[in-house]
Amino acid sequence: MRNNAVKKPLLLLFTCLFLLSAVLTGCGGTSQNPGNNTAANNSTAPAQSTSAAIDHSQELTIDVYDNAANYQGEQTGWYGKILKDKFNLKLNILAPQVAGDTLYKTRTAAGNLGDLLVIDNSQLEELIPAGLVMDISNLVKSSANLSKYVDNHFLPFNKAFEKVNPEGKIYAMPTFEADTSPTTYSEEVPYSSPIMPWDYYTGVGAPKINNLSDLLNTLKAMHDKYPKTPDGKTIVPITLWKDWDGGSMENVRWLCNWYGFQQPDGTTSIQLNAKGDIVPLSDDNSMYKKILKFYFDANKMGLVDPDSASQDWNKVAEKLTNKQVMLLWYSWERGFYNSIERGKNGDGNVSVPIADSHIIQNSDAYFGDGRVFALGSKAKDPQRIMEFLDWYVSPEGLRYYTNGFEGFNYEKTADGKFKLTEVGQTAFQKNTPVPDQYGGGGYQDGQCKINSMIMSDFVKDPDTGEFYNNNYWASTLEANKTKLTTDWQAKFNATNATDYYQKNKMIDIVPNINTSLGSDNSDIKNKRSQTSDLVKNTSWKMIFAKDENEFNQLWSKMKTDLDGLGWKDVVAADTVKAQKIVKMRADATASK
Amino acid sequence: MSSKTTGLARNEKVPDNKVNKKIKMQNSASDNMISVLTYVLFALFAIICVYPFYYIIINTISANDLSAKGIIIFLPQQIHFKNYSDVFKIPGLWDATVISLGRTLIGTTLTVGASAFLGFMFSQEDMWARKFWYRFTIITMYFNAGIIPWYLTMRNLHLTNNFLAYILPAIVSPFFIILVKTFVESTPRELQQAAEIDGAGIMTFFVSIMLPIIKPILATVAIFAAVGQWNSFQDTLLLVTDSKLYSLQFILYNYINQASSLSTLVNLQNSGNTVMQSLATKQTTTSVRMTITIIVVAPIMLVYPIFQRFFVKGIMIGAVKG
Amino acid sequence: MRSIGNSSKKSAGVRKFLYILPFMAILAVFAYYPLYGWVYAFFDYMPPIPLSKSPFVGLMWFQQMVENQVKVSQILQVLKNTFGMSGLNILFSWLPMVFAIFLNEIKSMRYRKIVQTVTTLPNFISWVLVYSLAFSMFSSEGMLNGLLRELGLASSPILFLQDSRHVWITMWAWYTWKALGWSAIMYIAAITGIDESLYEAAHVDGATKMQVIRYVTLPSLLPTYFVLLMLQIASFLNNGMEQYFVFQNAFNKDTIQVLDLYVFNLAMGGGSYSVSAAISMLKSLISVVLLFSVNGLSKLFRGESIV
Repeated sequence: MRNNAVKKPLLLLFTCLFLLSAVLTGCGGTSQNPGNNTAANNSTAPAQSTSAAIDHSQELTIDVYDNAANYQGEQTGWYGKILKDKFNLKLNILAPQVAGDTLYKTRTAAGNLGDLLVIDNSQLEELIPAGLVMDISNLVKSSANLSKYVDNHFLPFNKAFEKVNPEGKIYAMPTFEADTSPTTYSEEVPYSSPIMPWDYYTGVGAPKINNLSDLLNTLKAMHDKYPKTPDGKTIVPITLWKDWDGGSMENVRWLCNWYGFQQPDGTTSIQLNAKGDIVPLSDDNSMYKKILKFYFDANKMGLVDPDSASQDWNKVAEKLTNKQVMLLWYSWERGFYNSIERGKNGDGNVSVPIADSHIIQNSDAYFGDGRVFALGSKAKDPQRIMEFLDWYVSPEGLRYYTNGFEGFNYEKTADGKFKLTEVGQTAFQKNTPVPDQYGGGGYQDGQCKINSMIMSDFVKDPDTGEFYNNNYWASTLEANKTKLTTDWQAKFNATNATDYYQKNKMIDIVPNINTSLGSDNSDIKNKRSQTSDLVKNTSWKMIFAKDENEFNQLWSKMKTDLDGLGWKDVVAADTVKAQKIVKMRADATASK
Repeated sequence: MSSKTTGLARNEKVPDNKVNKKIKMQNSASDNMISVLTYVLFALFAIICVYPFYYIIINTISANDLSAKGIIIFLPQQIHFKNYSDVFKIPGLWDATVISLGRTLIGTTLTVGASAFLGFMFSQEDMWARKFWYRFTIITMYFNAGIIPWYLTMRNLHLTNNFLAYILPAIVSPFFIILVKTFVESTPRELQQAAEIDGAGIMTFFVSIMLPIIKPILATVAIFAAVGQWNSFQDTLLLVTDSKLYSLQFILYNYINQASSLSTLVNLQNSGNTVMQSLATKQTTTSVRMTITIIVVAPIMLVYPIFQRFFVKGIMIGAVKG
Repeated sequence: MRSIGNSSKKSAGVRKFLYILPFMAILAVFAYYPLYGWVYAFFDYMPPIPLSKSPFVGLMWFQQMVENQVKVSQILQVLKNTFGMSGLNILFSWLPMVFAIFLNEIKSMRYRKIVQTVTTLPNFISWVLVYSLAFSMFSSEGMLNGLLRELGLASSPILFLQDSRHVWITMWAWYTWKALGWSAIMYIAAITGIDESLYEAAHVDGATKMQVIRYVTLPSLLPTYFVLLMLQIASFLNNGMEQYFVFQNAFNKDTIQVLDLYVFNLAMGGGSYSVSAAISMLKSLISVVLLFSVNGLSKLFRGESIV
């Protein structure tokens, strides 16, 4: 009796499980079919390419291995619908940002990264000799839109990989290339520069700030006058966070830019200025140490958030949203609090220049910004992928990518230019539902998940003569004019921060070099990781040191320990990289 | 069995209740004190465990900006369910749920079955080279071959983009086998001898007598295995690129990642400025994380009581007698 | 007679082995076969360059870990932390057992079930989220400092999360809070398996609660406890890293950095694949050696081998 009562449900359970597993493995089985079909297509593809027309009758799913993507899965929504309707194409995005860097190691070890690749320059340099990327010279040159950029953009980039590409073939197209010039900077505010809340700054009389110690005194005065936000939150004049630290302490690194020193990506041990001087971080006169001292002094004056060492970026983002922070530096940090509504009341974060600063700023990414588009050597149907990429840089493709739909996101004005519609102004932030005819779903959810462009939105639309980037449309600039902007312009006698710095010769705009600086060998890799760990750790301790004595002791202890960890070799390797940048900058300026 | 009770008597630790009533009263007094203490301590610990969870719940249903300010501590304010409805709008969520349910049901069943069988078999002292095979199994618990050979192995077995990749590697789990074996060894040896005398084969004995006895430990294994399957997404990350086979946890992980990907953009100086600005202003990762925690834990908490009934004492006797 | 008995016994033994053979095959494929990857530890392997083209470096990665004074002192500090944290966890490994025993003493079924359910909840909160909860309670603006300020007990905020003292203890406390209720499930199940007649006999003898626990419940749980203890000792190098990763900052790093976190921190800076292969190989070997050493000790002192 009892046994039967148990057995029957058990039997039932097993039957269900069996059926379920049959269904599920069935899923796995059928899903492999499209791959097989397209593999079959592949063999016929070359024949088709001789005749100009490309056969779209078969749906093509391409695996996009994409370092820039933060979403893994199929491209859905309105952008997915465009691709489906136009090219009968589906994008299956593989994102190492989601799946982890091991995805790169395992897939390359297995010999196939994907069909379309968006990868780092250094990876490209490894993949070319390993035979994992396709030579696309002919495909690019024979295309309608991409071919326009071959001479100025693609060829110089590819030729710079002379070690692995002696014949100067085109293997890859850099991402986010601006079509301005190698020495133009088009944005309103430098990437890193001093930024403060306008009302607090004017509240203490908007004193002129001559140097970093003036800055501290001003912050002190602001903090004394405004210790809390209107809704009672404590104000922390300077707040730091730990989770972005890479080769060195990130919050220190970007302040060095104010005084002309930058740490190039891919290096961890040196800084570089516009003249081409290369200074190790550990130098007693390095800008890195000066900025550490600045934070140390700030902490002594009670201006540094006590939670700095234990908080992460999310916490900082909350504080920025609540306007609890008085010193910001990344240009985009303004956006957490600033809005047009607040701007009308003269409330918001703005640039406040320091008189003795001299900012170093990379130009627009004329040569691209560190990643490339490439095709995997085993890509199925390269013609169709290239057809898609060619459309990607066409006016139509760029408009869809950056601005969405005409009539929904933007409209034509009387003078033939574009203007954001009311929906368009907030479609991204609000994830506005897209009309069904365009594919439905939220606007942001449906955006292109490749998250990278070949040509950037700093390319001019032939129809309007304006950038595709809608922040720089005349109509947008007009609409964004507020009391905050006009007050600032009146005080500093410039249209925007970049303009001010340029007028007063307080900024060096250096060509934005984009190439592979060579990948480290294992020895340097290991030394690099150990030394940068030590540098980061000591930097934090120095900022929060009890007194100047401890500050100096920590510094000299760090220098001794660094030697034991092979610091000299890392500096030597980074110096080679930096010299390459210096040389290429000189070439780029000369060729202009 | 009885040796332990006689052991008690021999050591004379247990006073004879007929002789000394006073001691018994003291006993019950101390028993009561222990009971009260136990109740209080457990209540305290339970509160420490529940409050953070409660905190998470009220923060997911309060207005996100209030929650970000950290002022939602005891009661929710401006209640809304947008965090939840946003999650339920994630494309592919329902397919992924089916996959997750599938791998949890099938995977758990197979793992429990294999663990029960192997745990039982390893307690059979007459098995050929038993010790060797038991050790052969156990030490794999400490093996770490590295990610690349593991991936290549799975690929060679055609277990990439294959539902079976979720199931097969988990079938033989040393830890569960140890748990079952230890439990089996605590059951009376005589049962099997008696069954053998009755002419029952080893499989018959295992299925009809042993399985019901070891239900409590199987329930434990089932809970552990099911939660493991339900929460697992590492295998999806590396082995699956076909979105039809994505598991629920993977989809949710993907979703969290989108909300927090800003930091990886920061080094792309010029290009991403506008993208970054909009991303930066949008992100509320903590509330997303909290919401997802609740969504993931809720089903577990619903199913957990079903397993709990296996933890009631007395089943074993009943099973053996029945 | 005898020889026939023996051979039939032997064939029964072999038949029993044949039953488990398929499972051993699964293990061989999924656990043993990939171990060939340990050879990467002796090469300088950087995918996509195949192993056949990678230089052989012998024991270089192992030697590099201890090549100079700075590295040796780093490794020693890391090992000290690993020993400390694992030691504390091993020292208190009886807690889940005691938890289960006393839970079992609770008469009210409903109360017991509620406690049992809610104490598993922390197990499901990811460490990242645990940290953000910890931050909202213990930061300078957190609940606790707010309370201290209100009560006038502290003039300036106390930075609990940046305290480099008591790190081992606090880490142990967080871990225990998270895992206690969950690990107790194994013991709760084991208690269920104890023969009821033992309890009846104890009751007849008029045993007190403590006596029942001491002479009936505890001895029945010890086999499970010792097995789990042994497994825990064998894996003392594997603290995992997530917990320590979320709690680490510049000020507690020296005392919080356990081996797994150390390896992870190095890999973040782009450490090579071969180094991580070398370390995971070393860890696997040490664990297996430890397992059999502890087993030997158990044989020596308890007269009973566990594996």
